[in-house]
Amino acid sequence: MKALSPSPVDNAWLVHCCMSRLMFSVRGVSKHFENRDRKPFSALQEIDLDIQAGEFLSIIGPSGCGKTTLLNLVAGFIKPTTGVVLKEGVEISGPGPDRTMMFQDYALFPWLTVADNIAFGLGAQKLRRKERDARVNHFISLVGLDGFDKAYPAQLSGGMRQRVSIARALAPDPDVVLMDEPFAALDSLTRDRLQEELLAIWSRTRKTFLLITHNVEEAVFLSDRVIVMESRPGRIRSVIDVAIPRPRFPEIRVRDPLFLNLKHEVLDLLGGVTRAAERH
Amino acid sequence: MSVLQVGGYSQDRESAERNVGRTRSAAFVLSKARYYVPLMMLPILWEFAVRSGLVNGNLFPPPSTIAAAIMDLARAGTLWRDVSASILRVVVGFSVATIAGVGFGLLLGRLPVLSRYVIPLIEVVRPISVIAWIPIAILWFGLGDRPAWFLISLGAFFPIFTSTYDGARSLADVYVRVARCFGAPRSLFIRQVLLPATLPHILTGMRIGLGTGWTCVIAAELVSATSGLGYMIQLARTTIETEKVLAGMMVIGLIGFVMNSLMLLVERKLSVRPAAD
Repeated sequence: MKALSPSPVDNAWLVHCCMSRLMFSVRGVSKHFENRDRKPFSALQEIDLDIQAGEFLSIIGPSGCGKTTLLNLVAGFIKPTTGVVLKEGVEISGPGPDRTMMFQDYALFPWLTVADNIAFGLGAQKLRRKERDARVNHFISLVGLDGFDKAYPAQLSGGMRQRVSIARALAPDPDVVLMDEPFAALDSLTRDRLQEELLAIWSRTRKTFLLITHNVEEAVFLSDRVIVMESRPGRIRSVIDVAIPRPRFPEIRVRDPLFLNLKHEVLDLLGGVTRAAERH
Repeated sequence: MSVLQVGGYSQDRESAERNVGRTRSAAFVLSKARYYVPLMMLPILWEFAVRSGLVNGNLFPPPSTIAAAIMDLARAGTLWRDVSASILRVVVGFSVATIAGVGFGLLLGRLPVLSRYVIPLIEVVRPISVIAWIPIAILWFGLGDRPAWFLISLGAFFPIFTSTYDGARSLADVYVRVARCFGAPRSLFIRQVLLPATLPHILTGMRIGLGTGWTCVIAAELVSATSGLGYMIQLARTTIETEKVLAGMMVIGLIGFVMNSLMLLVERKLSVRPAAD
């Protein structure tokens, strides 16, 4: 991981406190499901993966590679068939507000206002009303939605809904934010802008971010590491270290040779994966 | 998009809609009025049929006689007594049915393990008409308010329960996942997820249940009460006051219509969610 500050002392300190702490440990995890004909199939096979605290990790792969299954295992919605998923050394037993999720298609409650949607994430904590309102307002500002606290999701654009989703995920102060293709439904301009804001939020909060995506550029631009997966069975094909220094500016998407190289590397890997999948 | 732009836009639109509403209101009322033409035609044709001797006025008292009978009953004060007795019974029975129907509907809708055992039971009891319950209700509760409360609760329960149950069962899985992910306590889940998501179903069930309750109260009063509109028309039958029987029926129909309209209004007010711009 690259430090924000150029100072070598700060760098060492950051490396110490971020890199040395293991957040997740996925050990020998397989997950089998039954399909409609009651035939078991393997969504994930023998996954080993360590995720460091404060890391921005992306998982990319063709559909059916089990990346969403992996995210659901970490979230605690499902349990592995074999192997264990540990969070800070403890086996994950179920979902919890220490691992919040930004859901596909936002999954905001249409009957709640922006403020109430964000406050929903605080429901597990016993907060005084004043304190809760302050927290909600803080996150409304953080995602740039001031003045929209009383609006309903249906009154917002896709990008604004995604901002609410980000704020809801961050409000309970989780250790980890899990993101299931959060930007898939957005137009490319909004997507780029939100990626940049997400990056800024990540570098301010220093939380562990785990992103599932289809978008190679998004994965490379945001992440410290990109996990490339292959399907049938779902396995990790390759782990790409993204050694692009931070802070990363939007220009690197078109100018930075390292960025472009990494992007092509991931694309090539995915191309191989897709071709292999098509042969099946 | 800035806050100001959005606010300004919606304000402009609202005021524009208000202006349109003012200029169109007269035409609007007229266009709606034509739907009530058949309803207005019925008494006119009826009156005409009796007066011309086509129809026996003793068996089919003309609307003018029925209206006079309603006025008489109103002036004597018995109409208000009967109307309020019937409405009060429905209020009690309907409240019990709403609490039980919504409660059990939400519970069984969210607990398939339990509902698999209970639903067959409910589906066997449901087809038994409320009329068929009247004898046992009299045996259990005697005469008066209590059998009526029982019968109304029973009749109104099933539509409320069924609709709530279906609504709770069809709650989108993703909302349950959001609640689990954020560790929402059960009370918060019920208040902010389950109830609002199911509310449109609950309200539809309540509207149908209220209608059923209103038919049940009349049925109950025909047999097991000494007041109310049902009792009144039954009594008028024994004294062969046909115009009173029909007067009671008219009042029953009107009150039912008003109840349904009120429930539709509530439904529309509470179910409408802000639409996209």
